[in-house]
Amino acid sequence: MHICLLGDLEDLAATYVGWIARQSGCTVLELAEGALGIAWDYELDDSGHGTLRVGNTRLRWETVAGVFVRMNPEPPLPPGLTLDAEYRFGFLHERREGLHQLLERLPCAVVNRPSAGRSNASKPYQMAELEAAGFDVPRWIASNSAEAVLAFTTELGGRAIYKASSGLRSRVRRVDAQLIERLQAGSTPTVVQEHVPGIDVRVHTVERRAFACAVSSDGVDYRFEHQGTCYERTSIPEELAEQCCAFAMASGLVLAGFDFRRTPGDEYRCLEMNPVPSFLPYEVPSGLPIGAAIVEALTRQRVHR
Amino acid sequence: MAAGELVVIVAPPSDAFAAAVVHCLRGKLARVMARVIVCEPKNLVELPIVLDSRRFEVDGAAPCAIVWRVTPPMLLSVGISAEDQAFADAEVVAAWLWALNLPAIYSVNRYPASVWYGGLHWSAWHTWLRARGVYVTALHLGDASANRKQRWIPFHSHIASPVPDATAAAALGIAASAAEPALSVLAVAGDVLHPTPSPTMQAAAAALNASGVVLARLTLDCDDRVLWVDTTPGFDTDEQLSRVAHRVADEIHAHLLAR
Repeated sequence: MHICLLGDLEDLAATYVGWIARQSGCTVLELAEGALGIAWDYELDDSGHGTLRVGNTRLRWETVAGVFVRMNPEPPLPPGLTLDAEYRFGFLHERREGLHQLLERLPCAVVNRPSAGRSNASKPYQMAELEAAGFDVPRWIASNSAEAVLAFTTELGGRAIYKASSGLRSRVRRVDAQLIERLQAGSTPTVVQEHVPGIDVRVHTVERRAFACAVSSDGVDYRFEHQGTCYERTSIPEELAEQCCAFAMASGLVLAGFDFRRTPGDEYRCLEMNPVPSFLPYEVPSGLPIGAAIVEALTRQRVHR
Repeated sequence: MAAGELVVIVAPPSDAFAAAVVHCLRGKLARVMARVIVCEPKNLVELPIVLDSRRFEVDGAAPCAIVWRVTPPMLLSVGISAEDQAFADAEVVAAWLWALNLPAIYSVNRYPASVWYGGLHWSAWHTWLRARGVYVTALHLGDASANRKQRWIPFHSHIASPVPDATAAAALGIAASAAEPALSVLAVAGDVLHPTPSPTMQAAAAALNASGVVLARLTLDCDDRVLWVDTTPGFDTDEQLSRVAHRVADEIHAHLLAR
């Protein structure tokens, strides 16, 4: 059985999934984005038939059980090719979109298809979706008005954090005078949200399975404040696990990562869902078998769309 | 209808459709005490906004409609330093994308996140329409050099070109098709502006309108499949532009009266 790793093969998650797949007896084909057209290439027709060439081997896509994808935001050109900035940009964009179209149309499991979970790039959009799906999302506004942010923060008794409105990685911080000054000087809309006391719980879903990991930290954003951070497996209510799985699958995601705050009263407040979650930092210290579940999802026989 | 209604137009000064809609709206809105704000996309960062999951305010007022003539990757935050530009534009659009999708706002157009963040390219619409059962042009991905009838359709343009040599086609993972554009029609608020719309035209227009894409040009191939979708279309004649602008202004007016 063939499994493909596609995109950035130096990504640790891709390396790890490949290792587990090999341990499970799968043949792992490495499809580096920068080596497309050299080490490998493909063709696929509109009905999902076609071939994949890797080195000197050509096989039909039907023999590929699944593809695990990790894309690098700054992919390389093929070895030996040099292009001016404008042509480089055009080449990389065309190739990336070509791979996206391939991943959308492949008749096998893809973790994850590019169009799935894209609302993560707009936090307001995604939080509204999560709220509509029944998740308990802490109160929020997105604003570039210092007055509005001050009024909202006052309503929350001063317990507010802020974060990027987009999906670009940014640190979560408490609302402070610096933010207000920046907004007064003129700035972009920022998400300001009720600060929820408690511990962080990351829930990874792989199809219908959920893996919960509690993260204890003294900081506001544990991803940037590693000192004293502790990861351990935890349990969450069954209904919540089902809700996460259902939402991820409805979004077209085989793998997803939900961020919750668990309050001292055992309420689960949902912060966001990541469609390209870094699961290794949770799996390694907690022992949760997320990687193995991904390989199972990639290799299971199924009826494809 | 709420007092002090607001319509926000976000469009470049050169946008003839936006100008025509503003012209149509001025007369209608004066009668209902509503006002229009016109903002250039590059100045969007300066417009004070407050947004949550149910409400959107621009400069202290809640818009009933937004005419959004922005396409990625348009500059949305003039005055921000060059190194922060991409971040700032992403932040601005992230807020407005949800505002466009608020049920209380009539947006022209509202966009699904998957298509917007797919760059509004034809390929993103293909994926979106296919998922809704609408027929789209058959494509061949990857090396198409063996089929001389096929033409290369670059993902970032609409201009079909000869298929490049096998090395380039493989390295880019190109999309190719033997289909040629046969017909182009406008879809406005779910209606196809064509005397005898085909089932595919109707299905595409209905799917787009149901999702909030009020205005689009559909280009179909000889097999009545959607080749591409343009959601900021040009117009064949001034008469057509005027007709569509009036229709959109009527839709906005009706939405406003129904509030």
